[in-house]
Amino acid sequence: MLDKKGDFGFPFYFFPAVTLLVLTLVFFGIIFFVVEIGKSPNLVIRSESYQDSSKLITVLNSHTKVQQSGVNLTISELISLASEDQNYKDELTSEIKFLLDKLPRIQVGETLADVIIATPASTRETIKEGHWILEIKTNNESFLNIGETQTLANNYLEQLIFIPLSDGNLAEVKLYLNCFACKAEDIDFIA
Amino acid sequence: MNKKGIFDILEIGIYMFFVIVVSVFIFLAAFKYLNEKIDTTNLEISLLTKRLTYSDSCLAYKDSARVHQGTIDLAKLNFNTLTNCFSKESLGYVVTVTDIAGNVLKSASNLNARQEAYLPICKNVKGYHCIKKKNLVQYYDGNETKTGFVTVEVINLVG
Repeated sequence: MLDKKGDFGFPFYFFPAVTLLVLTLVFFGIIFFVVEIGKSPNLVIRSESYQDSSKLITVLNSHTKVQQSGVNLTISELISLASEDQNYKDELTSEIKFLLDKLPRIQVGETLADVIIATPASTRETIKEGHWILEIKTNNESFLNIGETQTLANNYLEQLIFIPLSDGNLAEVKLYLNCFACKAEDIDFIA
Repeated sequence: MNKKGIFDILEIGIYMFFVIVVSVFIFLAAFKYLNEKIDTTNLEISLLTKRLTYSDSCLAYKDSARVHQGTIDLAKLNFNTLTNCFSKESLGYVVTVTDIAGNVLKSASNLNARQEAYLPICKNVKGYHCIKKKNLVQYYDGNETKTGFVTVEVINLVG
């Protein structure tokens, strides 16, 4: 469209072209800077990947108030005793509940930097939906289930140990966190 | 220069302006992704806690038979052990052992003077990220093994 006096068509295609350019920049600006479409959510490996059975081992090795021959039994010894004598089941349940209450819990809704490890007495009312559950199975049958599970909740940080019982069988002990609406960062923090 | 030449220069100038705008946009998008902030403080504190409680050269209790991983020897909890266990110039930490009721039994740190001053006011100090993490552990107090908590508080210079 060029002629001796210049490009007469310039005003006709300039404004639509500029409009198209601005719209394109706005569109990709929203994608890259607002939605952050290319951003990797897993830039740093999660602490959960390094978690082991240390919490469950500590719980099982904890001494209880139950004594036998003047010696305080551990939780694992009490499990073995309770599998033979059902009278010890209530004491086992209360001892395990005491320890599960002491485990770190999630305060859902707070930022990672603000999370304070909960203590049962002072912050129970602020803890939303995160509970530690301990399940014990003997002979593939459920022996004891301690802790509250929530509907629509997911299980995290599962730890599994087999402990020997005095009758020669094995008890399967599983510890996990049952949590509704927990974020990955919250789980990471207590892993 | 004639009228057409002046118009050509003006036209080129307008085109160059838009080329520069688009180039700046591409540069900003690339710069944002290349300079993405990577904070590893949470991962570092998790690994540090495991190292402290599992390693004989750190705080793990060792008797004549074996190293008791996951059991902290209170006698080992001091500045020298922590410094030899794990040292990083930009990271300082405080280790506190409490009993099951929450009573403090022993505490030690490897903080330098600046970290010690910044730790209580960490939220308000630019460039520092602090995290406190508490774990259920066993500890050996010289007589017997008991259940308690180890709290590791980290102050990390993130820039």
